[in-house]
Amino acid sequence: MAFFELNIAMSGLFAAQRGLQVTSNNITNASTKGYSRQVLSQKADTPLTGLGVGMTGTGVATTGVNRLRNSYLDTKIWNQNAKLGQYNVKVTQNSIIESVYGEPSDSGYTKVYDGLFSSLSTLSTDPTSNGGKIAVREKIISFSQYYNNIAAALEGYQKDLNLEIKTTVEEINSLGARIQSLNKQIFEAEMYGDEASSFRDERDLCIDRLSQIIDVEASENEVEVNGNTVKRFSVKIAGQPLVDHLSLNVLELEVRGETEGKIDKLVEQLKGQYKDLKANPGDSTIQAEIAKLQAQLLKVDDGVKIATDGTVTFTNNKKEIITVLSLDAAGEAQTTTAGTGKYNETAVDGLYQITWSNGLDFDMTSNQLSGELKGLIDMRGGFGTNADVSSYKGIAYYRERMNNYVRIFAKTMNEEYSKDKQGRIIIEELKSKTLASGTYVDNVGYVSHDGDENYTFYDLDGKEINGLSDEDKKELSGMYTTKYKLLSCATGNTKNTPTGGKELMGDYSAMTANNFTISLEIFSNVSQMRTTYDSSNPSDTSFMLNLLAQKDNRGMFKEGTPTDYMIGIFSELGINATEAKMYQSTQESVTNYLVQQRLSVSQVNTSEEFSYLIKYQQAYQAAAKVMNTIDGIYETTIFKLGNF
Amino acid sequence: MRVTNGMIMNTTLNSINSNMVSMSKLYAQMTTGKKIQTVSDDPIIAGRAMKLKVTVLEAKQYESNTKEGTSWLGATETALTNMTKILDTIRDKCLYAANGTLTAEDKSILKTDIEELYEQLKQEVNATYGGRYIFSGYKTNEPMTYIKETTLDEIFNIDKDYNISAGTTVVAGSTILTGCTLSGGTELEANTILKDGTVLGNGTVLGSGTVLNNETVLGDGTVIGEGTTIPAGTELNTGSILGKGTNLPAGTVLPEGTVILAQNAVDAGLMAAPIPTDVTTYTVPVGGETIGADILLDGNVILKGDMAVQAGTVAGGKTQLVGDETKLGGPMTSQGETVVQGTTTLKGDTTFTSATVLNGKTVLLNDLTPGTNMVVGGGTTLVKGSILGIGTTLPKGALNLNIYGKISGDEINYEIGVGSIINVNTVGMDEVVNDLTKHMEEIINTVNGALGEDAVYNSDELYALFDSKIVAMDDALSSVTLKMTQVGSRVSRLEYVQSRLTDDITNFKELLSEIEDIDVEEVYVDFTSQYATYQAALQATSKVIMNTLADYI
Repeated sequence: MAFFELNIAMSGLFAAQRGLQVTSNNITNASTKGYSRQVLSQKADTPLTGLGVGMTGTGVATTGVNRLRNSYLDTKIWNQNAKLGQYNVKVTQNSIIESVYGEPSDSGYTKVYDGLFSSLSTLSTDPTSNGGKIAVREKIISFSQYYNNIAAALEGYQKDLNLEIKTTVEEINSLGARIQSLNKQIFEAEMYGDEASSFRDERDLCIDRLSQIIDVEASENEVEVNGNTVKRFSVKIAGQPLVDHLSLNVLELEVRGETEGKIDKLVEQLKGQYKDLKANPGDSTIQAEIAKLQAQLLKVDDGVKIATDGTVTFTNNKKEIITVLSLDAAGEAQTTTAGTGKYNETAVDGLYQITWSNGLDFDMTSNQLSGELKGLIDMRGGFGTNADVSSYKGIAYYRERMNNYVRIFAKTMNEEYSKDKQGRIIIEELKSKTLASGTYVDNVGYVSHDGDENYTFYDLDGKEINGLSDEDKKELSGMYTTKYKLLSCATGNTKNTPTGGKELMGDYSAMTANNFTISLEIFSNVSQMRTTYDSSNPSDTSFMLNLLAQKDNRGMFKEGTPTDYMIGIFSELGINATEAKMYQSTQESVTNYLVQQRLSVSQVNTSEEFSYLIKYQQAYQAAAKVMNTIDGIYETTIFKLGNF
Repeated sequence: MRVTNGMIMNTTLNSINSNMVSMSKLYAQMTTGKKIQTVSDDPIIAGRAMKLKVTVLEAKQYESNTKEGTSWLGATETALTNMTKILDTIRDKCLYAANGTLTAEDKSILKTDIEELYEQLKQEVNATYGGRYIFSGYKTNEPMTYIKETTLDEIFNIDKDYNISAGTTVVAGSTILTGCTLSGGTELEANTILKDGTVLGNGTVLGSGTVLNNETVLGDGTVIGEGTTIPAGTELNTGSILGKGTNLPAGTVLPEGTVILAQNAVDAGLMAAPIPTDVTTYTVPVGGETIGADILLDGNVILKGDMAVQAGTVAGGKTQLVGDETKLGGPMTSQGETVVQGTTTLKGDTTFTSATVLNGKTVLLNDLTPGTNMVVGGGTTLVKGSILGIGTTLPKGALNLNIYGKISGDEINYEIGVGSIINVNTVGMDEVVNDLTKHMEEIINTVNGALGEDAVYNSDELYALFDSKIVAMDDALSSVTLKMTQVGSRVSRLEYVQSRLTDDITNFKELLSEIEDIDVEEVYVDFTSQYATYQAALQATSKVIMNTLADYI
């Protein structure tokens, strides 16, 4: 047992040194994000027995360096993070929409709206005044520009959000890849039993971020492989595995309507081939070409199905089944377009649809979805009532509300502007038409209706046209535009020049807040503005007064007057933003609390580490002292007791 | 619980951040003076504030409309006051003329005075406000009396008795009338169809070929033209005259006093003498007659049948041209109250002087030779139903035909509140002017007729005329005064509305301020206390995170 004490002292020195290493590593990483403090665990080494004097200790043994981490808190944080991420996005985006409207303000809606009607009111006191007409023209233009600007800004934000969805999906993919590679590193490192603390910290950090973006379900399972227990880590997002131990699934983006476009193109070619086949029955070249096109079609999208009789159907993202090609008895192909792929027609072109690369369905509309991605999806496509996309009131909803406003406002104003003294709307001649019921209607010159439903049609002489069924009336009501127009729309390249407005049939669906503008007739010749029912009575104010009365027309919208409608939009937006802020702050305090708890467990406390530093230093000094003492003993023993 | 430096740092950062959020909110409130900066700060306040803003702006617009209305009414008031003064002066002149003996010079001066005043009156009714004629109803682009000689470029139907101003040249038009109720004195064109139940008043003249349906009642003195079909059951009243070729079926009741003209195709006659009182016994002369040139027709002469009146004929006072196809060779000068009836053909340059009454629809003008104009004397009345042909010229100062009788109910309304309007213009001046035209032209014509050596009117007649015109002026004055009263009451209503609007604006602004403006003291106190908290937090933070154990080993 010679020099045994030296070994004991040595183990003490080594243990203290390792303790100092761990402590200094902790201190240097005190500000490293995601770092968990590590502790050295040590125990008394196996004692020696059989000396008959009791067991003799053999020194200290270090058993491992482990990070202090509470995985239960991690799971909780990850669960809460998604909600916080979602509301963070909603708060930001709602504030952006709010800033577009800029209310409450002295220069916003109230100004342009009142400006328009004040100018009309001034004109009503002198309907012959050209200056008054010019003022009205300018006010209509600024009124319409108010809507154009907001609509353009909202459109821009929808595009921005679309890009953000792209970036976010890319971030998910890169986080997935990082987690996958960390899984590999951890797996390899821990094969020999040591905990790969730093790698684990890094992986947890990745999931921290991922859990903000999307709802995450992370689990680590122990699996027996060849008698060894190995840990396998998997991460599910939106209910589907993103990383499963060493395998990775990524998300992909496809542009809505792109698939539809490809299908349309191929189906058109196919139609041509069927036509050729009909001309040359049984031609094998054509049949081969058809088979080739069908094969291409199947490759375009999983939703494409080709029946044995040649019928091609397409199941789109909205789960609608569209028969894009059918063959009639004569072998003639009938085609239908696969659609635009848009969830609502207000949406801008090129919105992304998220899918899994392995072909699994990524349900963007799911209520289970959470996180920043959900926030972005809600804000981008939230349509209020239409559960197809999202029932949240996002940009799509506000755009639609604005469109609805300009359509109803323009239609009501134009109809009032086009009325004759008897209150009938003078329309642009509605030509002869055979109606659904077989009724033949000749030129229609006037229309009147109370509210929406009860239409009466008059011929050019002002005589009522009788014998129209309700169905006929409905059909005719969608086929006229007013003869005189106050408001119209601009289309295509003529962004700033109004069109004649002939496309404004029925429900004015051709008009949007983007293209809403003054009518061409007033734009190009302001002195032609109608200010009285009959030009030989230039000061008949009743026309202007009736037009002015629209300002307080409670029946114009189901929400009430035009101002009520707009205040409704602002309030809704305000309430949504307030709500998002409220959820955000609640969620923030929940996550903050959990984060604090986690920090309490895992974060390095420098003072604490300094005390460890002293502790290990003293342990080291003590062990050295032991070494020194033993050394003295041996010196005495060897040099003083011996007789060399 | 174990607490780390990092945790303290997090907590302090969070608290400082929430301090900063409160500070920034208070700071924004202090700098903008508004409680809320975005709708989401308080959607309800925002909505309410927006509604109030619209209300304030609206009230401002109503205020401006009210001022505009007051100015319009002010202009109306000025014009009406001037008119009252003018009418007063004219009335004084009439009073003076009715009570004193007037020399020829006096008469001449009187005439000039009245002409001038009348001229001024016509200018007053053309008063404008902002370039718009205020008495012209909806037709503010047209003056009430022509400001220059005007030629009609399309046929004009007179639908209300119209008094002609001196200098009017009339061109023939044409008309078609169907059944209606006609008052006495109406003349019907040939081939007019009267439906059942038509009531014709006393003195109605029916043209040739008129078809009368059952139950037509013809009033006293009705003259029935040639070829008229009178159905059974028609009741002819006393004094009716039936023209030649009139078809009288069995059962027609012809009362005493009916004059039946000879059935002869060349039936015509000259009643060179006044109509005898007992017409039933009068024998109508047979055979066409020609009145030679320069024959003087005395007063009360009735010309019937196909008379050819040669040029230079002078029709005396109360001459009646009753013939179906009387031809006036022109230039014919008629004096006094000549009445022209039937399908008389008036040749070029015929001149009617004062008080000529062109009855009925002025059918007499139908066959006027194209290119020739008829100058119709001032004071002539164009009866309802008359038609003026293309090329008719109306002199400066004549009552605008587009305005006269066409502006009743033309209320120009200004919006002075939600659903509240006020009528700012004054209609009805056209009637006043029409009446005045008749009286003024009569005065001028009569005074003209009383001047010179061959004076038609003597002094007594002149006194009587002026005496009667005093009443006419009183009527005109009272109707102008009535309008002034109405204007006055509307002005005071506007004054009330304006003061109420001013109050409203103040009230709404106050309310708006209450809703959206901050209480500066309150916010300042909050801000100060928040700032103190912030300072304290910073101080504490600096102490907490400054030191670690490292500082002491």
